[in-house]
Amino acid sequence: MRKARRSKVRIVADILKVIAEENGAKLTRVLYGANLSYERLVNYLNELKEKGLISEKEEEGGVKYYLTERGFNFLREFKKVEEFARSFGIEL
Amino acid sequence: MRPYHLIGSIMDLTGSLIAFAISLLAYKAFKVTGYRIFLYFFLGFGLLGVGSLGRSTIILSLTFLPLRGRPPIPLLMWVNSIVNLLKLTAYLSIAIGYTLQAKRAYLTAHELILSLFLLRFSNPFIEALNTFITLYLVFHSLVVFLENKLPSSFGIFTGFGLMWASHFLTLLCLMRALPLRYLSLAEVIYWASFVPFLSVLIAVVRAK
Repeated sequence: MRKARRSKVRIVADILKVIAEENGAKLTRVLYGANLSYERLVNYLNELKEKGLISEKEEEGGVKYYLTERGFNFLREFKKVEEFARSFGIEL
Repeated sequence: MRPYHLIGSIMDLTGSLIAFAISLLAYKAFKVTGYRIFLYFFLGFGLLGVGSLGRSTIILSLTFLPLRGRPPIPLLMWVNSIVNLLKLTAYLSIAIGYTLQAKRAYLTAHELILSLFLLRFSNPFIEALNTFITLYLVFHSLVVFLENKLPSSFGIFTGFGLMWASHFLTLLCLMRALPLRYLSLAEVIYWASFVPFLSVLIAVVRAK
């Protein structure tokens, strides 16, 4: 069966999940976890920062990304929506 | 007031609450994802809720408010026709949502709506359409359930299945293939059809 192309909202959720699981993730970790090219990931991270879903902190060993309260809320909402969509057979 | 009026109105109200809850979740899903499919589900379940709520409100009002003279039969007939049209629009909306999701027959769904407005409405005609559209919803939800085996998907399949059974039974009664007393059974099946949708609400509440 052909694998469906990931939607934008799914990619955003994947990025946020990786950051949430790591409780502060480096760029390379998000890169592998979200399975995106470097350029696309940087674009997404900038957009997520602008929307206040993640924050960036300069730490020892490099920059780390953290989920904001808004980011956690979005992820919680997404999981509920995902469950709802799955019930109707809709892939996000 | 006869007991079955009250039971019927309460079941209508309960059904409308479940439909509104599903509609609200669909709207939330639209806000989060931006998928147009969810707007159709929002509209469809919202209309099902409005129809059931409107009918129960009017029946309860007519029962409890003091009436002078004969009961307003034409008003009740109008209400029933409007509820039937709302149901039809609701099913169409949900069917379009499913069709959009499958990314096929997009035009067919829109042509179906156009043909609805071109044709004259009569009760058996609306019931025939409702039966046809709910059958589509039953098949689609069955395919979804067979693919993902989720209890909530089974709930959706059962809900649409009961809706189809209710409309099919009503159609048979209107065509005089069955005695009119079976209309009451069709009504009971329609009320019961909302209950399996609770499984969706449970799945969403449990999602962490």
